Amino acid sequence: MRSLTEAKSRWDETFRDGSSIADLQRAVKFNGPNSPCAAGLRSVCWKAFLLWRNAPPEQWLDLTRQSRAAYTALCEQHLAFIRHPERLTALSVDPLADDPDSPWIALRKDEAARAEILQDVQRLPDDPFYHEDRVQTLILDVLFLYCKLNPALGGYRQGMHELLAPLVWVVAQDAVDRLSVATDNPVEATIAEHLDSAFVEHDVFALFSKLMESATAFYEVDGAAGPNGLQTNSIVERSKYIHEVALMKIDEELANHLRNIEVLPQIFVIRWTRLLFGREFDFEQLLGLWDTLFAYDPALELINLICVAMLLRIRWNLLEADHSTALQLMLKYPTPPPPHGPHTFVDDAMYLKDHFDTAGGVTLIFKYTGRSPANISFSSLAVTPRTSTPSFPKFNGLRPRTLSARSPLSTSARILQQPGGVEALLQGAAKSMLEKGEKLGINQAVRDVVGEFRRNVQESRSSSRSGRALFGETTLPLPNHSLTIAAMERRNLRLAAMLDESVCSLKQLAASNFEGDKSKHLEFVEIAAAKVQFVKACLEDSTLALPDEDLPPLAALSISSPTEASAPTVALDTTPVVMTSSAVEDARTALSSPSPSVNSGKGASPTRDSQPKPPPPPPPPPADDADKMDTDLQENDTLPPLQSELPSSPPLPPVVTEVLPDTPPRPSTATRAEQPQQQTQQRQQGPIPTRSTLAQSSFAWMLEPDTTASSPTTPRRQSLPSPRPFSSPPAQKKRLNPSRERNAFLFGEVTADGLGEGALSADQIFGLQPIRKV
Amino acid sequence: MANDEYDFLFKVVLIGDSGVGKSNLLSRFTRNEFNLDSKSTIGVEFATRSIQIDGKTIKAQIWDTAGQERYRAITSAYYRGAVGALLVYDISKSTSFENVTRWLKELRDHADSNIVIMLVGNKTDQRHLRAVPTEDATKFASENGLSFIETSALEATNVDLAFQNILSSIYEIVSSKSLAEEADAGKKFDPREGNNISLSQEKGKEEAKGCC
Repeated sequence: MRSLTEAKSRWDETFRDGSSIADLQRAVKFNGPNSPCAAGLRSVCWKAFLLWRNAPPEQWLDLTRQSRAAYTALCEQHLAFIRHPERLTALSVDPLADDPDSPWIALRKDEAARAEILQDVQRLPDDPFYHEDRVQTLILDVLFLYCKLNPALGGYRQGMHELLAPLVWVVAQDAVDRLSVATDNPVEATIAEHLDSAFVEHDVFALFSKLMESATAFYEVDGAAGPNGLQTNSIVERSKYIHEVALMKIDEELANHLRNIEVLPQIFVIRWTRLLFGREFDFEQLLGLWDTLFAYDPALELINLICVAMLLRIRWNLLEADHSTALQLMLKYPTPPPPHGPHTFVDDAMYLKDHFDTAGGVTLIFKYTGRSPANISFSSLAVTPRTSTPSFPKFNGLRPRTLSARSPLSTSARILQQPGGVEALLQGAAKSMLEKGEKLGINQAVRDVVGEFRRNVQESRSSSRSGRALFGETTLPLPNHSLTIAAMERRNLRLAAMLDESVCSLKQLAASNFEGDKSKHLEFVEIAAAKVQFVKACLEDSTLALPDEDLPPLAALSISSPTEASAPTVALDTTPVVMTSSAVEDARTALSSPSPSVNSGKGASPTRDSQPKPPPPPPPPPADDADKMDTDLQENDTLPPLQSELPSSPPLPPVVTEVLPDTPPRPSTATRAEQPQQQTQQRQQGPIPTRSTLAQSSFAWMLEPDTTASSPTTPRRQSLPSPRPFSSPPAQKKRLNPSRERNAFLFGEVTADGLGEGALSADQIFGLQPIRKV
Repeated sequence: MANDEYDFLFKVVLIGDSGVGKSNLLSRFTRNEFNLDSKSTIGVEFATRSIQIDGKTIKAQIWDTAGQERYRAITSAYYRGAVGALLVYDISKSTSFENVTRWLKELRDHADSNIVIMLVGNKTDQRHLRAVPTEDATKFASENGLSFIETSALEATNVDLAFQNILSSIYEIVSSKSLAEEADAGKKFDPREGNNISLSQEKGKEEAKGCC
């Protein structure tokens, strides 16, 4: 129960960021402890998400009044004799009559049904609130009425009481005793009416009925025997789907392991889903999970993937577990450590929905455990020689064939044959994609290319496995390489995820059947191709820093457009940048220690509620930010891929990729962090939002020697808001290729929104950062 | 858990109407705990405890389910591999005793035909409310070839005994038929393989040892 004053301030807090569903969703997702559900009125948020989703705020009160009136009528109809037994006696019907229509018989049936419900209501969780008499009666009545109105369900099902209980708690928590408040203020009167404590039961019934519309699926049992005498029912079907379809696709190793140790998922799925995870997590955390769930998935369609995400989170433990241990893990699910509390499972599920494949699984596993599944790992693909070789003069010269199994070559050289192979595969795919696109058989072409992608990724995986053996031989005597392997593995994972993005968008494109704007679709293809090209470049040159590894967000994410296909060649014509020793040192630290890069990424990533402020140099508290990272990732995923502000690109882009000649070394871009950032800053303030230039990209090194490279004293994190220390460096090169600026775009900047939110760091987009151990 | 040593692993299921005290029997036996306000079981819970019988370590994996789960949502998974069942009723609630017949039918339909069944009348602490005379239950048990015991999870009366009895019965059956063949003492009797395990003397001989 709240006072009107408190309710008023919480009401204002709830709608501080707006009262549309989208506003509330965003606030729930991004405001952390200031979420409208936590700092405001959770009951109002839940009502908005579940009951008022399609209604403008001015209709909310009407809707509430209607549903309250309806519930009152229901009570009158079904609870009259239970609440007022004297009315039955007044009817003067013989209580012992055998007439099946006798109200006495009906009453006895009802009482039996209520007794069954009451038995569970009395066993609600320990919180004294649930055991107050009025609350017990309230819950009993609501469940009884619900079951009465939904006979198809076969009566009360165990578990409904614990699904209902938190709703009661939340609504009662926010209630205001309307009789005790007298106010002339119409706003306050509205609030008081919304939260009227006299209608807790009515509102809870409405919420529960709505929730059960989707949750019924978790309670259904049809009991009918299937053709071979096997029972079919929805829990078993669901469990099968979770295990044999979803998990199999996302983490085959785990799915197989669970099958091998004969853990049947329905054993735990039944409780997880029926109670919407109510028994798996601590109450406050559960409310947080429900906040996100109701905000984004009131139809509960993500439940299967939430289950998968939960399995992924404990996958390593499960893989080591036998039958009993695994069951125990799942029936006593380990509390997810903050900041990745249970609500992040909803984020994960949303991510998995868009990344319904192994790469999606690997990304999440890596994100939360810092480890990647062995059979997916690209660890054998390459070793970054940063700790062993300060410069990489021969990198591009090393080609698979020239290396084949020659032991005198250095370890790093031998390993490089694998990335070469991968790169060739990708190049081929990208190339054929665009060629096919040119013939305007795009629809089919995209499907083909997606298929090709899959095959190639498969191949690259198997080649990575064979590469591992080779790698094992050669590195045994060099134990200090393990660090660099780890770094490279991380890098490869990022690259894999980038590829995954492209594949996904291509798949989406194929799925959309090319309805709508053709040029837009072409742009799609271009973007995907460009991403592939970026990955190609990265695989080609392991010194090329990945966006989030050592660069602050925005600039690091830029990449040349497909029309920049010849960029690498252009680069060959320019003077190679000489890497200073300090720069090398910089690059080394950046790669070998992932944690600082996490920080720098976070520190520089703009928070949504403070766009104009320059990000402060010290990173914000990790908890807050990590959560944002989670949610940003999702946010970004759900945004439409392109916006009209993008300059329209040529309908038929030239072939993107060509096999590069074995030519001079690529200097690292690691030292270029500063330059792109300043440009980014400037660009964001510019009147016309455009894609960022090549100069801002990781390919900036192609343009010309960087005069600022030798100023490593400037801390990277601070460089974003600082003034430009140099004068218009890339202008000259821009003139060389006027189309460059227009067509360059932010890698991963799917929406290219110029709204000041464009500066997403790579980890926000890909969710690739491992959690730092707290 | 994965490393502990045991000679036999037996899966035992608890069945019976909602609210008869299955979960408290489980917690009393495995953790020596009792909770008057224990939550209703949703789906399945399980716990293990190892006991010594005849110098052998028997690990009992005891499964507890919601009384309402006679609706079969997870029946097959629940009974799979079970070699023993405690069929529990509440001595203060006659309906729970009347429903014993239904539970027996469920066992016959879904569990191994040779599963060892023990009828358990729980809540003997509710003396003043007794609705099911001990004699009725004894009679029913002998008619149906079940062993029988009355317990109180609240007072910790006979709980250990009940489990020990059923585990001993299972052990006797398993060891008598595996004596001849199970020369390899390291073999485990694992209920996960239970679908193939028959407790009957005739055909169980070959299958009881084929585990792990």
